[in-house]
Amino acid sequence: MGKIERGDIDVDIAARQRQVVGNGPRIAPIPQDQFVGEPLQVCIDIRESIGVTDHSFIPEYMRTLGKHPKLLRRQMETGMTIFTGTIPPRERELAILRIGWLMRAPYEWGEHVDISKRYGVTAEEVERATHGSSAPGWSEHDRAIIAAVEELIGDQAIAEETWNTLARTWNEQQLIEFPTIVGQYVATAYVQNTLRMRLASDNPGLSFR
Amino acid sequence: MNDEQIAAREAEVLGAPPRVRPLAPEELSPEVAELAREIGNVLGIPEPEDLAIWFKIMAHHPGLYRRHLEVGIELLGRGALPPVERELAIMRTGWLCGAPYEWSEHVAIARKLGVDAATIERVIVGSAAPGWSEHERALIRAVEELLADKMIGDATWEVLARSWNERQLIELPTLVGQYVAVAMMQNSLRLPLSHDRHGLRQR
Repeated sequence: MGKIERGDIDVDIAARQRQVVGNGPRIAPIPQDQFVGEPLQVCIDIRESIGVTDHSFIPEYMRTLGKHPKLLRRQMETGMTIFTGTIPPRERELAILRIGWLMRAPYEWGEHVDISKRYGVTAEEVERATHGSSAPGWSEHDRAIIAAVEELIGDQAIAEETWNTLARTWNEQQLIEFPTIVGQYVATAYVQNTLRMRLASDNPGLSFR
Repeated sequence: MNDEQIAAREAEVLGAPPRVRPLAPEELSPEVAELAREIGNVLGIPEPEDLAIWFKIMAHHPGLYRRHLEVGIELLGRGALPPVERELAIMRTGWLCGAPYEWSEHVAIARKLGVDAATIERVIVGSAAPGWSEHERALIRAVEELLADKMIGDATWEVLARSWNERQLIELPTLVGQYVAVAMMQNSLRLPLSHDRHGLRQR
């Protein structure tokens, strides 16, 4: 329970990025040539389920969390289920953008700027996600998605008016799925921020648009 | 939170019926019933009657619910953190999230593990309370930092890393994230308390 941030946030991007990723990972990834056994098998299983067959390079994120392979498997499975869930992908990605931004999470934000554009989020909407639900230009439903993220992260609940707007468009499955998604991406940001996960070479972090 | 603030929060997240209709018993899929038994076993509840409403709500979305439960089972049943330390972190998370269901259930679990009333009071005050060991204080502060700053600070991390291995260090932000997620889900869906629970007043 705390402050609900519905607009621009007070964050110095360079300073935050130094704080979160500047000093390098707190837990070293397992080197690629030593990445064998159970952790490798977890990654192969997950990757093959989405059609990836080349396992000669496993991303650093997975080689770090591979130090806790059973938990990695469960987390990845949850992520996959969300990715093939009932909320339309564009709406899911709008929510994740606002989550990554409010979490001041360079890794998550940068990754999802890319992913969201693949699912139909425009460059203008990426920019608007940084300004929050109070920015002009959102449809009523999109504004409620952004507002619900803000309320969940600030207050761990969804206000009545926001819920009612979402419930005009979404069915019960989607309404259940939504706070689960927000929770999952909050958890991912906690892990990536805390472990000081190095950004992939194509991810500039919080400055990405 | 004082008495008035507790009453206001509970009115907000418990004051009306669940926002999504719980399914009737005949609407439950066998998959969901099996999962109910699994989590009941992990928590030491032979007949998971107490958890029934939550199951009946989440049963609208059994695939997602299974995944969510499996993360919980991994953390509660097979996790790397010592159980009392795990429950201290979950209780601080539940308190900071103003989550009456989560708080009351995990106070009950902690009491079963032997956590005393004075420690529960100390969890409510937080890392600034007197009486914590250095390690426990860092654990409580890590939860506070995750909620406020979305990462664990250097000083806190260093203390935790003196006692914990890498698996445990990876598990902590995952655990706090999972229970923030649970709080968000239960608060949003307005999950009613179990029969003998007292919400944020549970001790």
